[in-house]
Amino acid sequence: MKPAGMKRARSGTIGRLVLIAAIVGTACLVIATEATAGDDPEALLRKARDASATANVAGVVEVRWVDGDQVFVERVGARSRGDAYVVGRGEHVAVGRDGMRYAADDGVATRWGSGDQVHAPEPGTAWKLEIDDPAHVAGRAASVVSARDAAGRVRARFYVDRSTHLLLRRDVFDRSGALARSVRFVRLSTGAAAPAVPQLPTKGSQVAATSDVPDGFTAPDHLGAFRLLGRYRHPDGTLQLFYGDGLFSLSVFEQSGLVDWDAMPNGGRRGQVEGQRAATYSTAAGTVVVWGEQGLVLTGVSDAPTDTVQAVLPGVANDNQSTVDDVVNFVFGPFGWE
Amino acid sequence: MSEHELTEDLLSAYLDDELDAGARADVETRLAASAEWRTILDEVRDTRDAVRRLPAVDGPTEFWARVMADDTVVDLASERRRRRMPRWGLAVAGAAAAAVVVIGVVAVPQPNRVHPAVATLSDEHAARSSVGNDVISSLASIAVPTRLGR
Repeated sequence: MKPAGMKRARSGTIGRLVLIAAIVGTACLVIATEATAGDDPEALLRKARDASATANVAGVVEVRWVDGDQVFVERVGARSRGDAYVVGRGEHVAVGRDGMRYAADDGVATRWGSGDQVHAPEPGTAWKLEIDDPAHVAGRAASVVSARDAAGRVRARFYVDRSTHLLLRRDVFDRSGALARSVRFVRLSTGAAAPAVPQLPTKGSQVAATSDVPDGFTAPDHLGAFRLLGRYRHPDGTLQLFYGDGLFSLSVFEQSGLVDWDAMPNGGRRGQVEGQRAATYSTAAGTVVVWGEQGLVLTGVSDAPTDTVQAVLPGVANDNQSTVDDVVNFVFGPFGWE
Repeated sequence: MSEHELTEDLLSAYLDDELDAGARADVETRLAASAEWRTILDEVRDTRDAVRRLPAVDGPTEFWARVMADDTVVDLASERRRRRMPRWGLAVAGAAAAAVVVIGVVAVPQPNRVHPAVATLSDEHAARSSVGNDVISSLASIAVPTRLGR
């Protein structure tokens, strides 16, 4: 029979070994996870997207965009608490909570997301992603993901905070490599006391997801690498098609009629889409292209590089959806299937 | 036997190419048979041409007032058109023309002229884009005033 003291000593040793093994294992797991996310650009971008939905943030965001030979720079305050967001102030404020979005200056007040069954493609589907040299944004160390097009040109860069995985900066470049649009934090604090987020207006939610495409309108499933993710009907009858390619998004707004060119804002660059007169504008949100075709007034809006947008828009009026697709939509449309 | 009695008025209408094919053929048959009517035709033609060559001169102010007050004065051109188209024909033609106008204005849909609200649609896109993506960078573009000229 062994002494009681020896028993206690042996069990204590085993306990310490188990504890050390657990600590080492956990550390290895954390290191492995970080290494995976750090080495895999797609994983890094997914982490950034998820972090945006949960982090507490207070900071200043700079939006910079180029329109012809003019460069516009604006700074706005940004706060978030979990799933609630306030960006800007006064008349120019955008508020978000869950799927609800509210913009004060133009009355946009919409609950988005309902009826979306289609997942966006993976970020690397249409673009070649790679990890670049690390950088600093707003005084924080950032991992950098570059997106190259088929010709190998860098068309976008994403800067992801190493500690919180928040997206700190996002740059889009034109074909020559010049900066076309940039959104970045210039000041940022995270994890601080939760900022106050105002209540959203109770009215709104006027845009409805729809599975129905009215006669004379068009809704291609794909526009180049962009996949149709949602269809929405606006109160004035406008049909909005929302597409994503995993990295960028594109909306096509369809209105019945002819473009009233005399009433369009100045500043648009004149061009053509499918041989039809078109005007291209540059806004803080991205490239806007307006043209008319087959009795429809079409407006494409996208944060993708302008040439990418212009390359896919001709497919809008050339909906190659088959008769079988039409039948499937007719049968399953009432059940909200995409 | 001819259906039309040959008159100077008929010859004038013939010269103005205002007769239908049957009446015209009648007149030409009578002219072919009568040198006297051929002479009268030449006189009517000469008179018509002479009148057309006269310079346009405004009458004295009271002249047209007297003309319009005289019930016996007849606008020959209007009278000629009136004789050629019966009253019911005018009514039908008028109604048809009115119907065409009504159909053109009311029934046929006019193309709807649209000027898309570029700034608002740009915000609508950014708002939708912020769902499921990085929220703050998308909302920031909405919070920035859109500068488009007019």
